[in-house]
Amino acid sequence: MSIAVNIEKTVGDFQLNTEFYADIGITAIFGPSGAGKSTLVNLIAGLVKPDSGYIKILNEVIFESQQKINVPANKRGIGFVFQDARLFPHMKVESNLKYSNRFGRKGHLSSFTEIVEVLNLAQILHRLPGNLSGGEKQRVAIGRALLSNPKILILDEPLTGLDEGLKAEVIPYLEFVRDNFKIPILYISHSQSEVVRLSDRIVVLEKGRILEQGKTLQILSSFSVAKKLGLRDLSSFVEAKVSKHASDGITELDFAGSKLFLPKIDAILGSKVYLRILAKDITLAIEKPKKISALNILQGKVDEVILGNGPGAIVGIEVGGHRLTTRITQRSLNAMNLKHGQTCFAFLKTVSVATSDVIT
Amino acid sequence: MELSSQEIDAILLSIKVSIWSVVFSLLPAIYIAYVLSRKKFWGRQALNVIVHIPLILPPVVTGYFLLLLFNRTGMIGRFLDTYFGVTVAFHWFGAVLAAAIMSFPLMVRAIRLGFESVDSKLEVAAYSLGANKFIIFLTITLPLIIPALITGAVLGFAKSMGEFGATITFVSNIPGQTQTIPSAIFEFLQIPDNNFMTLRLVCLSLLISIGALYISEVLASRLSRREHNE
Repeated sequence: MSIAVNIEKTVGDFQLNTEFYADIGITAIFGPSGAGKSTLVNLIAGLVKPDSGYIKILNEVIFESQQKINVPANKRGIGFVFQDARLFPHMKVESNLKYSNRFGRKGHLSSFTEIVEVLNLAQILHRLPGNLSGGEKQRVAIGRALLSNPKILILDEPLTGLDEGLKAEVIPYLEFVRDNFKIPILYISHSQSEVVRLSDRIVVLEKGRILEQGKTLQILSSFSVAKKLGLRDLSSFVEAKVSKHASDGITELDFAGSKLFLPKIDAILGSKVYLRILAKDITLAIEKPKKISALNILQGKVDEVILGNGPGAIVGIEVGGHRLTTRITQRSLNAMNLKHGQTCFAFLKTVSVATSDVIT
Repeated sequence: MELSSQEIDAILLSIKVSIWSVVFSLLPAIYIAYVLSRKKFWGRQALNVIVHIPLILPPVVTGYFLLLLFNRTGMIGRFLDTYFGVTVAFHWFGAVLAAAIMSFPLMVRAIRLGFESVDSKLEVAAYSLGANKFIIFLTITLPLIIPALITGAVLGFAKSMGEFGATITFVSNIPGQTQTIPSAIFEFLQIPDNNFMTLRLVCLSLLISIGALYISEVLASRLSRREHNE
């Protein structure tokens, strides 16, 4: 199952022009507000008609401008989870979940009992949506969408508007859906932390166009994306594994063949965590320093140097297959005589764990 | 203190006329309210004005137009007489027609407010679950406007109970046939020293209207409680 999109649409003086492809797993559609995310969603959903192009789900064409194919929204087989949940207020949770089976798309991607179990809905089946918490509402909305036998799922900012506690409550369910239902999921978001945690691939939208697309961690760490989103936030996003909770309150992580040491983080041994390292929090050295308070020192090779217009420079360092990006001044760059391919050491002053409550 | 048969007839007829008036105008009122609140089309404003005409015309004028159209030589009256052998003018069913037309704008307004308060995003959500537009109307939109439907029906009922001008012009004031409570009150007022009967009928009319309003309030609040708390 996959979805291929290549569409154009002009609304007023806003022009959307995108081409991308999404496979099984979560593909993030990422961008600041006004980038065209909701327009794109409405076009794919069939609520707005593109000016030209095509949309295919697997091999089925659901929109093609030249052949005048335009499958109506209710026949496209796209499941939706909206930011505002949109549960039917006059129906109990159970009836909300069964709506598509009674009145819409019937199917068997998953059974009612299965969904109730995996989303932990048994306790609230007989409640009305008005009495549910934001997190519970989103769980019901996810279940309702999954029970509508979707070929693809679109999650439209499902965590925006929830507080950090509720976000943390919903995220594991999203991960479960991602890992257990073999369908493509488009995850619309403007939150880097959500996207890092949930998506494998990312499509970065800006002013209606695709700025970059590819693997989430790589793309978000790239200079071109940071340049658009704000250099202040230029960061490296990497994946590490929890290897030890030491008795002195330090958590050890395996990363790129070496160890990282962080103040105790709340994650079970062996689990994967995503780390965000701000470019300005990395210091570079050519020789390995002997006595220094920084715990995290990684050896790598310079693989990119970009000079800015001001006094700064961006240096990309390859560390055991991962890429760290750092900002230093051009003066330091010249003093250290850093060159492409040169071995260097990166000290990480601060490392954040990308659960949704650490970074946004 | 027993009611005279004339009074009983008037009360029963008023209730019968009002119920039929609501029954006949409810579906068209729902349809017109839906069209006015949801559809953009050429002539929407014109339709809006036409629906509201009975509200702004003197009722006597509305009754006069009805008489012109429905008396045995009128456009519609002749048709009904020739093909069905029915005469509506001076018949209790004419009173239903007059009441329905007079109360129609009030019902449309109340129901339209209901449609406007329904979040159309919910309909989009139902659409994304694969339901077609008619099913969405029946399962989402209509249940959500039930309070507005009740309000509309009660307003229509009350207006029909009180309709006088168009009714008396169109179907006259024949005791036992076309005499509703307001026409009976009018007749009693013509008779000197009949204050007691007049007042009695006025009180009854008040009771029926207030009772209808009360029942509707109870129904509406019970519904909204079901939706928001429980």
